[in-house]
Amino acid sequence: MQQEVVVAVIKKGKKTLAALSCAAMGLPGIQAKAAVPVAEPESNVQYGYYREQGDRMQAEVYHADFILPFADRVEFTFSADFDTYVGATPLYSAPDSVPDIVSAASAEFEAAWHMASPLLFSDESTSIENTITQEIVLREGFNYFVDPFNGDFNVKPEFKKEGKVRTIEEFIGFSVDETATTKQVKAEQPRESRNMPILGANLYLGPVTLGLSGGFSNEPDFNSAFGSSNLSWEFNNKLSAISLGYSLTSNEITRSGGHGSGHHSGFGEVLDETSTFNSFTGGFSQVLSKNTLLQLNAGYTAQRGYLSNPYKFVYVRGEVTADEYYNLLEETQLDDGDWAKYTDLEVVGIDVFREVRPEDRDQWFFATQLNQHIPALDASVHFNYRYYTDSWKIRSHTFELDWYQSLPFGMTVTPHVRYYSQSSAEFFGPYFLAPREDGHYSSDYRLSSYGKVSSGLSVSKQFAKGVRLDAGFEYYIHKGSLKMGGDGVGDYADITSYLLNASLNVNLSSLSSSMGDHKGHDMQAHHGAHPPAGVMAGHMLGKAGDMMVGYQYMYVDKAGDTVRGAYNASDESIVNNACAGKVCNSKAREMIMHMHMFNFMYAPTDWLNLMLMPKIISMEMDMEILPGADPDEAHEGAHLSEGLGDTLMMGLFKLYDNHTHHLHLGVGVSAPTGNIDATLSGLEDTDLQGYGMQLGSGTWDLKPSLTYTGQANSWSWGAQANATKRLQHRNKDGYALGDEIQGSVWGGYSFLSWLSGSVRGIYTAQGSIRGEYDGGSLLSAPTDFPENYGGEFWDVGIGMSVSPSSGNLAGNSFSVEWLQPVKHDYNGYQLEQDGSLSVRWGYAF
Amino acid sequence: MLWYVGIKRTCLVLFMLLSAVLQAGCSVAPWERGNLAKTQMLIVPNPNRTALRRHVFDSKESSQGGMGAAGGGCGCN
Repeated sequence: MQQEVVVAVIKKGKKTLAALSCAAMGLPGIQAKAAVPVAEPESNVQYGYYREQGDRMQAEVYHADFILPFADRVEFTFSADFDTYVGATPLYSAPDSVPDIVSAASAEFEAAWHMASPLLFSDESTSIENTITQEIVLREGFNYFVDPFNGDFNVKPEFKKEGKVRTIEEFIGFSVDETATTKQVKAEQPRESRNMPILGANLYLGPVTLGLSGGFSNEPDFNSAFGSSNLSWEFNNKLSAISLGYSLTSNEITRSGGHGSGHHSGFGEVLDETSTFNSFTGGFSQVLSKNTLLQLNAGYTAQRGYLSNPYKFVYVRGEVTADEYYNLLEETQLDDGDWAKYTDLEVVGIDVFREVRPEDRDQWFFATQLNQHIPALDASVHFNYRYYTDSWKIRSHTFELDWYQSLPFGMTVTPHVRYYSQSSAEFFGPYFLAPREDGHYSSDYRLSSYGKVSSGLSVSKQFAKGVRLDAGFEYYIHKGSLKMGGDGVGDYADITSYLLNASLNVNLSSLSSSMGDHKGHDMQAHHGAHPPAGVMAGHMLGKAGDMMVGYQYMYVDKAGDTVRGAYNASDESIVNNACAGKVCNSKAREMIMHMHMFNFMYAPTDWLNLMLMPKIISMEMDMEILPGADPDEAHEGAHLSEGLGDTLMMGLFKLYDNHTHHLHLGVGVSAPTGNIDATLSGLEDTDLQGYGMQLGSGTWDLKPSLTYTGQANSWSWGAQANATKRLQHRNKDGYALGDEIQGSVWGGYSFLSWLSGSVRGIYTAQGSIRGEYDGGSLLSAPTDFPENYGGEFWDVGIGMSVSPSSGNLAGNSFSVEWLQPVKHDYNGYQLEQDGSLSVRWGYAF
Repeated sequence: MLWYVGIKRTCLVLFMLLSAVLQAGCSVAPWERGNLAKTQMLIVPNPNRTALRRHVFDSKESSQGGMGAAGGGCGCN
């Protein structure tokens, strides 16, 4: 924005132009906005929802990032992504005529073995074997028996074996002709989530910009650490730029074996593999005219290590022959290793194996983008093309066209179309009717030859004060027949999907120019008066038009003893009394909760603040089996529950303020956006987890609060009373969490102008749960019973708060508070709380 | 080794484009760059949306690279 202003000024008087040096103006060059650090912090939040047709995959993606300037030449970036996935995913594909016995792969050796036995021991196989035996008897006559002349009518071993082997062949050798259709076998994937924090820094050294970033991506079975560096150099009077990049990614792919706890249990052998990606990119950008910009990019990536997908299988005929199946079935004590005599592949069913991809992959791409501005329409067209090829023989072409149309009132509408077409990997097949010599197999439809067409629309609205809202929709059609040239893989894997996204961008650099010294004033009003980090809705923005973005993190740890009332309970007491007259089979050993809250506040008038607070919750509960438990009903190990929590919307009303004393009323409503169907296995429609592990209340809740704060010299103090009232009698699962009231009183002292400490006393009373799950719970642990929730709690909080009133970090406030339980009187039997930590960051502008 | 030949050809085309392009762009004076400075003329006007789409494409297609920022992880079954 600033640069546009500069340009407009220059247009008015060209003569002054010569006097202005390029460096001083920050000429708009290749990436006009990227060549200087941001002037003020910038923040983005984004929500994305991806959904495939039917019961296939659904993914939710939450993203937040901050850009913070530091000195003149440096900016720091931080971003966090949180995704959850659930739904059915293709496991493998096979000819349509494949018998059920063969197609029932399970990925668990024992189960595979049980599935192998019907080849010989089912009613179906017995009747087939009888027919084959009769044929052999007719063919061999008396030869069939060991020595009929001695009256020994035992069957000769070789004919016995022939009968059995041919029976197996009947099953596995079903006919597949050229017109055979393919079927896809799918598996339900448990709900899983991924966290990805990334830290970065950009260093601006005149025409040269150096960017560094690094981060992690964590999933239960896939951990990845990555770092990247990027150097760009603008030259030729900022009309040209060259960039070079390098990134290193290190992945760890793990899977705990068979009967694990929760995640991907039943997915077979233990897996512990790694892979490393080294990636190099080079780019060149050029301003072609005052309305045209061209960029060329090329890159190479070397992937080494375990590159297979551990959850994909392949159907391979002939890898294990009928003869070999017979030998395996004849062995009485079979264990994992025995398959290895006949195949290098991991057996997961009859003729079904885990996929194997090569351990190296070299990828190349070349991409170009042309941006053309059309002044008459105030629109810009972006055209993209990418060519990709790799050592797995996949080649692809991607075309994309985006039309950015500016409209009045700060609106931009962008329709776009994209076409993607790829050829298949050389080791891809929907199924394999003979083993491959190189031992590489994959039936992952993403390695097949196909085409994909998508189109969508995104809308963006720029508000005053540097706030921008974006929303977009895109619809994808993936089809074998859409491949360029039409020789795609067929239609069995065809699928449609869509992507929705909405984002909020708060760009404070455009703000600072229009608002002058406002910030100093704002800080004055708040200085020393920030309530402790754990106090919700404890402060108001100073004056009409103010805004705040914030982030609050809360950590709760419950570990150790199960308590009844205020005293420790023995296992015996839990077994007999904690489960509403039933025998308790399991108890919680530890529960950890991480809560991430995002806070947006806006003051439309001096006396009113509007607040929106969505949150993301991640909980883990570790269960153990109690002595004497029924193993069929007990559950142990770690259970996870992660995702969006309930969303708080609140209005804060100023009742009194004379700069020493301040009183405000909060009226909040919590919307039931949190999922209350978290299950023990992570799979949908299985046994529900305990009430405390659900991400929301399932009801609309009223949250009123009354807050008083005061300050004099270096001292500050305050008190708050708040409550939670469930507005609905029951949620959809048949219960309502208990109502809650809380009172707290605090005092604080500023040691330095920017640093203060606080002490707080808190009393909380929470009712037990009303109603109960109307089915779907195992009812085997104290956490499964409504009477084991709520209680009376006395805590003490120790806090610190940092809020610089000048310098680069002015406008930011950062506070932290630890809550230590003093006396807890629990309803029923509950896991004792060790304490909780609150960390809060806010930026007012 | 067909893909390798493809690369060589691509490099040649790229080099020719480069030389043509460098000569063409010399004439845009600083005061003529107002349109180039617009958000809609950035290579990546909306980095967050681009990153989200890139993650979807990387997970659902076999081609990687050429769409901007670094990242990691799978999240793709």
